[in-house]
Amino acid sequence: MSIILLYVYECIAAEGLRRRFGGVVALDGVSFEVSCGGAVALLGPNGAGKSTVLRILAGLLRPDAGEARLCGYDVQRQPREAKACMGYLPEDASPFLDLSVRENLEYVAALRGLDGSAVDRAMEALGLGDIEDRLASSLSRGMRQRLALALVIMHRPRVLLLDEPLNYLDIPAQVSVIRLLRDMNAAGTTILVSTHIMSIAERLAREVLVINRGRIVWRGAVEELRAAARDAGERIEEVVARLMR
Amino acid sequence: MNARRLWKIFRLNFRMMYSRWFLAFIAFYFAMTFMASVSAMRTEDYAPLFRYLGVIALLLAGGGGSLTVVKSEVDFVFSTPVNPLVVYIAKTAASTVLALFLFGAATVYLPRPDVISHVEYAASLIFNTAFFAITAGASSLASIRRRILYAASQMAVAAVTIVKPELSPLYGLVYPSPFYVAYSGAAAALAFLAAPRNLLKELATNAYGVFAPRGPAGGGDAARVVGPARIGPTPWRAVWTTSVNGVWRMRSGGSEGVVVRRVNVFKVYLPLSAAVAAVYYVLLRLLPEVGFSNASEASFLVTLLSFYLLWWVFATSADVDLSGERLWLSLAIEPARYFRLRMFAKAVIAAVLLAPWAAVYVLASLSYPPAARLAPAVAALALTLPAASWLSAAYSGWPQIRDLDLPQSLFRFTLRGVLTAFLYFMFIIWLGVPYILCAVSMDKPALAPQLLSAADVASVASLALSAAFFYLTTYSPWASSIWGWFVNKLSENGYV
Repeated sequence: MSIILLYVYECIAAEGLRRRFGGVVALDGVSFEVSCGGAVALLGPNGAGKSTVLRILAGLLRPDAGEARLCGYDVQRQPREAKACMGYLPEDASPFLDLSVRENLEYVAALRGLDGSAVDRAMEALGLGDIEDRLASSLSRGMRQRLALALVIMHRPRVLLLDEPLNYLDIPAQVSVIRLLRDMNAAGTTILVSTHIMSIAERLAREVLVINRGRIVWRGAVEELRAAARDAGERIEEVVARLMR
Repeated sequence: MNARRLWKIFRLNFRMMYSRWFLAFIAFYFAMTFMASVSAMRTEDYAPLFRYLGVIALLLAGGGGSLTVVKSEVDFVFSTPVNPLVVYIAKTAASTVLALFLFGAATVYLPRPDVISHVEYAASLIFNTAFFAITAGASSLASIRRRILYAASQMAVAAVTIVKPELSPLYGLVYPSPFYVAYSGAAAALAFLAAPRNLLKELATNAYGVFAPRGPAGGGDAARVVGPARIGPTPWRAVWTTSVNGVWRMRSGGSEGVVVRRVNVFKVYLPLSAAVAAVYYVLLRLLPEVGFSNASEASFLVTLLSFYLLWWVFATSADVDLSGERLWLSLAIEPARYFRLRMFAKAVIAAVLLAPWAAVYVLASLSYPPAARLAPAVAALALTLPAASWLSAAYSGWPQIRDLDLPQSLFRFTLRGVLTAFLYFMFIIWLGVPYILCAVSMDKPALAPQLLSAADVASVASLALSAAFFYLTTYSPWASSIWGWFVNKLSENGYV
């Protein structure tokens, strides 16, 4: 696998993704790529197609047309290899409520073929050590989100697909999760984060993809957006809102 | 995948399905059944044992939901490289425990002449258990058409076990032989071959396409609602409209996408209820005497089973109904008032849907007089089931169905669930008492006056207690406390 990855420059690649839900076109030829080690935010209004893009990339939704590749593997034709290299956090993720925190991690570790040290590492990274024996059903929504993040990063994925990762987290937890994700990115993990909130995009990503009505309508660096906002004397959200129209 | 990983996946699925106290209860149940088996060994009359096995098979036929895919699996299992078939097998294996204990507890102690017959028994037990576990698992994932086929195969096994045991694969549990090993093995193998493999394969690359064909919530949703949409303006009208109009999701053939159609339960379930009642009536009239000492015994069993099945179907559908509740919306009005209106609406619906059964039992009494005694019992069901099923579902931890129309967690077998089921059984047995007394009076004419008087008293008491329960849970001053507890319990269970 390492030989293949050696020659892979783009860890995430979407080419001509199309997806309809009945009569509604959710994605209309979405193409982009993210270099290995990149950190990109997917911004867009409600219903723009952000979650659909992430689900297709995660191998959880088949596109009507187009191709999605992770770490060089076609998600539909080589799902095992693609899923082995990625972690996907869906929006409003729900861990297994009838298992304890540790058991949740052990379960996903068993599914991924990881040993016990991965469980301990993930608990330490997300600060779950004190609650390892508590049932997930007894946790607050914020603690469940931390557990969900632990389940997603425990195998040290090369690619992280995150849908609103900071939902439900209190401010200290947001700070520590952002630090963790930045550290992972610095260590080589590629991040694609979908969010409605510009400040999250600014803190987690260096580049932005703006999607609207199923199409990528703008791509550029976060710094470009900041500069545009400075030049126009506007807030960065106003600049992004204009791009989405 | 190595055995250790597979074992871990199995163990954690097992942990999700059963509480420790439930397993302790199973051990207790095993010991109790041993005593019953000892008495059967003394008499060597295995006819009641086959009826018991048939009833167990019927109950297992209704338990397919325990294997349903839950939201957490879509979130965290199908995004891993693991083959969904492996998870399915682990879950199916974990779910076999219940069937294994229920069948095993009743038969493991029966005398067998030699080691070979013990081996044949063990093989029959494993294959029969596998048949029920695999069909239940497959049923929970399959389309409605296939689901009916799976249920029909389970029901057929249950029915022949009761009516003509030697035709059933379960016969090998009492009289082990190579033939019944092969028979039950073939049934298990067929069930495995009929498992929805294509769907499992699909889950590896298209789980959201399978469970959320309408697209992500809030975006790209092509669903249109067709049907009466006038909800309100009064709370009663809102509650009545949402109680009477179920929602069916259908794929349209054209470019319209998924159409969400409101379906009036009276238009769908009333004809269905009437049709099944008519089938019961025809069956009663045509029932051959095969396998029974006389027609009266056959009529007794078929009528009683029809009533128990009626209760089972209504009780379980009411439980499922609770899964769709949204507390934050429903409790926009004061809880006691909301639940009073909701229970009243559900009681009216239950009464209408059960009416054909009350009528058919009265009609059946022309040829089999005890059947008339079930008409008041049907009325008691309408008065009690709506509130009782919701309260018991909350107590036993029935999971809410939210995103992707999937439950938030697996239904877990707990001691609370056992207690609830026990109370339910006591209740349904009590409702059947007037009918049983009347049936016995036909065989014992000398005691008939006393038995029929007792049946009258039991009928009146059932109806009076049911009416009191209805009053208690709707209009009484205590209703507020009852529903306060209920809301609290649902919140603890994760309902929002």
